[in-house]
Amino acid sequence: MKKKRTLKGMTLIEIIISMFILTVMAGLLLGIGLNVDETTKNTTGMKDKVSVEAPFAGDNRREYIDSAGNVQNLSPESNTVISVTLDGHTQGIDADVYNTADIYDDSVGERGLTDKQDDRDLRFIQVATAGP
Amino acid sequence: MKTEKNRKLHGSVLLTVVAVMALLIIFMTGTLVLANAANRRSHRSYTSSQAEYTARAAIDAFYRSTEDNTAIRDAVLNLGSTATYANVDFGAGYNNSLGRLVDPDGSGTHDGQIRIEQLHDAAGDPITQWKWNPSPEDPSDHTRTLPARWEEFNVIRVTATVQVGQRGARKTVYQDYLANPTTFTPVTPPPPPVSPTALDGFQTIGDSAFNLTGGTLATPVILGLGNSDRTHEYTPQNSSETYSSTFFVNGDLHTQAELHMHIDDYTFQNVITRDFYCDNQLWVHVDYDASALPAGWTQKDVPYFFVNGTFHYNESQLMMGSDQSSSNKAPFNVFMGTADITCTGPVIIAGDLYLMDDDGDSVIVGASNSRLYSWTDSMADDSGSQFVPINQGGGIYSKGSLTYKGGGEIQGDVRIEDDLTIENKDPLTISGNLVARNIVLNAGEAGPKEVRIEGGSAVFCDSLTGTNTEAIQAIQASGLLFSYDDFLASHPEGVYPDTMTREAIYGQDPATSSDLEELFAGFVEPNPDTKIIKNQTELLRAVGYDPVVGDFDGYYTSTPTTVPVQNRDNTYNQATFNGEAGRWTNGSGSVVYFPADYSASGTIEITPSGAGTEFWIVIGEEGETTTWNPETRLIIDDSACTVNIMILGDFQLGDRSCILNSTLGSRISGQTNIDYVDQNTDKVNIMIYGGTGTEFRFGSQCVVSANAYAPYMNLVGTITDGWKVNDYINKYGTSPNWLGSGHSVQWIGNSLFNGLVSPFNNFSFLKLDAGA
Repeated sequence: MKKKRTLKGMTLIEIIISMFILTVMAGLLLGIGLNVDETTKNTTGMKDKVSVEAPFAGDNRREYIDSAGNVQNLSPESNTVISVTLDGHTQGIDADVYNTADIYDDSVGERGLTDKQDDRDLRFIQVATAGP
Repeated sequence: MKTEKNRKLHGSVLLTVVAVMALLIIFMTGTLVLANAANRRSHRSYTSSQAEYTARAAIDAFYRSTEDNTAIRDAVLNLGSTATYANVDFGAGYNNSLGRLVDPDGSGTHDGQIRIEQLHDAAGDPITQWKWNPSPEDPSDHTRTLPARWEEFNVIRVTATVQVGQRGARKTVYQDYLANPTTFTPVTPPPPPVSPTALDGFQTIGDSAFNLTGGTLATPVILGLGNSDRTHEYTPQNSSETYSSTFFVNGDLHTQAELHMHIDDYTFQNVITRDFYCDNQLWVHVDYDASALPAGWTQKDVPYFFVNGTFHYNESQLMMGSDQSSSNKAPFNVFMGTADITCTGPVIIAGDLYLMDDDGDSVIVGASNSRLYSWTDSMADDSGSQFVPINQGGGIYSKGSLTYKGGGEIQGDVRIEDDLTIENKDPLTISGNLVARNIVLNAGEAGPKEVRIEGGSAVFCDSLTGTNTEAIQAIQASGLLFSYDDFLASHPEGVYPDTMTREAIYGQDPATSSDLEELFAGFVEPNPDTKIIKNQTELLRAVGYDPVVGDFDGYYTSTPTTVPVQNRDNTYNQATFNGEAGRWTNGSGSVVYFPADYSASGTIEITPSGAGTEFWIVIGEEGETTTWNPETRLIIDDSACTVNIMILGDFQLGDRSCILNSTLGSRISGQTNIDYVDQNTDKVNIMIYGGTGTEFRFGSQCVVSANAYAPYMNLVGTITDGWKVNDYINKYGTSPNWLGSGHSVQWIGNSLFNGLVSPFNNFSFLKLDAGA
């Protein structure tokens, strides 16, 4: 008995459409995945950065130990004079601005941060301790 | 059929693929949303931190401006009840990524400004605060420090709000700082009036022997007042009883036998300035009537037991406090630098226990019936003042760590600023709060035992660990476990009350002091508002020590060249004494002089007949020893005027002799007995002075009733009893618990000697007030 061919495969049109849809979706997936990856890296990097730098900025600490085990000192990023005015009386206070970026870079390195985020370092202002 | 069926499958693969991919995209999009949220949080954390640091810098700059600019400082000191605002410009070197100051009130009218306000209490009065400053900065030279001192400040609140970026975090920071540097006033109490009549009980200046061979001291006891380095150890040998309003040992106390301290008055003060070693049992009987406490009493009124160093105790039991079986729950405070207490039986303290050493590691080991009793069932005064007792007593407060291995019950709080380890071999019940940095509950030697927190109290700590897992789980399951900071937030007095630190209640000793002048210069007095403990410098001042002169005011070390003398015709004039006024064995009038080569005997009665001035008796000569015969009785009528006895050289009383005033002399019965002494009615008005480096030696069974003001003379005892007093009624209306053979007494009155060189047997001292 002649066997009747009953199964039909996908038409060429179907295959082309399928391939097209799969390609578009794969592209979307890849794009989203890359975005998630970058965002996660940035988040981790920012958390690392804040967790490393905050103890120094929070306590106005300028001395730290780098990844080689050497004691390093932060240098002021800039100097400024803070003017305080109360009831018409003004007093200038010398102060230094410190950037804690070096502490992070020396101990952790720049992991997964965009340039924009890499600029976001914690800074603190050290008011001069000397009196008049 | 097959054909129909297969037709239904056309495109199913495509559909499945599309569906799966869509699902994946949805998941990935969700992940992206979450990742972005986390990223925003991390960015917000950054901006929030940065805003906080910048706000704090603004406050720091303002604080510095008040130090550098007197006009700004004065403006702050003259703040009214409303807030004021100060402009703060961060200057040219400022990086915009640090953020910008915005209005702390949120209205936008004070952008670029910070808010300054004086804090006020509920009554509207400015809030001030006392602070202990161990190394204050010299305002005229910031590189130098001034001596440690207490400082009072106005409490000023400065608030700054900073926003980082247009959409970044906005952070408000306030700091209460203590302004008003113009009121930096060291607390130095004015010296009290100097008077030798301030003599109070038995007092010694030098490193005297205090090897008591038992006895009853019904008197204040002050030992080693002039010892500046406190290196001497006082070692009572036999069982002794004290009935003292003041018991002050300047050095180490090392008891070899039982010591019973009776507290019949709420003014009781016990001070050991160094360590206290007990080689036998210590009993502190708190017997005073709690109802006698003044209305509105505070910690200053509570009798105390103060050991500045370590309390070493290794006995079968320890009892300190009132009898809890009676209704008289008398308040009582126990202060120790560090506790080293190990008892096979109970450790019972009916009061609060304060352990003052910051770096102390205290240990308390007791049996299952150990107790820290509360002294009352409820507080009548709950004003919230820090100096009113903060609970009902029966608590432990420690600056250092504590290991508690006892069972039993603690009816008050357990507050440890350091770590607490509990290895209870018996069940332990704590009725107050349990507070410590880190709490370790370990199974004791008898396995894990219950640690029960009762009365709605709670546990506050940063960590709760240990091998007693049942107790730990019970606390964790109770819902009453909170953080250490939670306790601080609701208890402004601190875990260990600020007003009960060593610096607050006692003062601060200099690191070293080789002499008394250096001690006076270096000792930092406590704030008078919080002072509780008697200290060495105030006791020295009380007995006339002048730290400027470096000597005792009113003290005679040689014959006064000009004294008021009584003439034979009972008139008085100022006469010059030349040492040859005559020999007087019995009589009245003029100066009575007993030369060194005259050995008195029998009964000598001296009766000054004039009133309103002083009368002098001179005994001996410088560099010579005066020895009287046995059974010599010198009876002096001190009712009309103060009688001064100047002892030049060494003086030896004969056996069974006495020097008594006529009041007690009239009560002599038998050879060496006095019928009674009543502290409520009897007084003694005889003053004894002694030359430098001299000795007042007692023969066997002697007694003296006088006030001795002889800080450079030594009292030399004998290994015999004194006279026997058949009855002594103290000011509390009770008779002491006599020790030794009969009521042996060597001294009646008050005395300040350099030291007690050789111990008496059953040394007993009865306090009488000075006066006629």
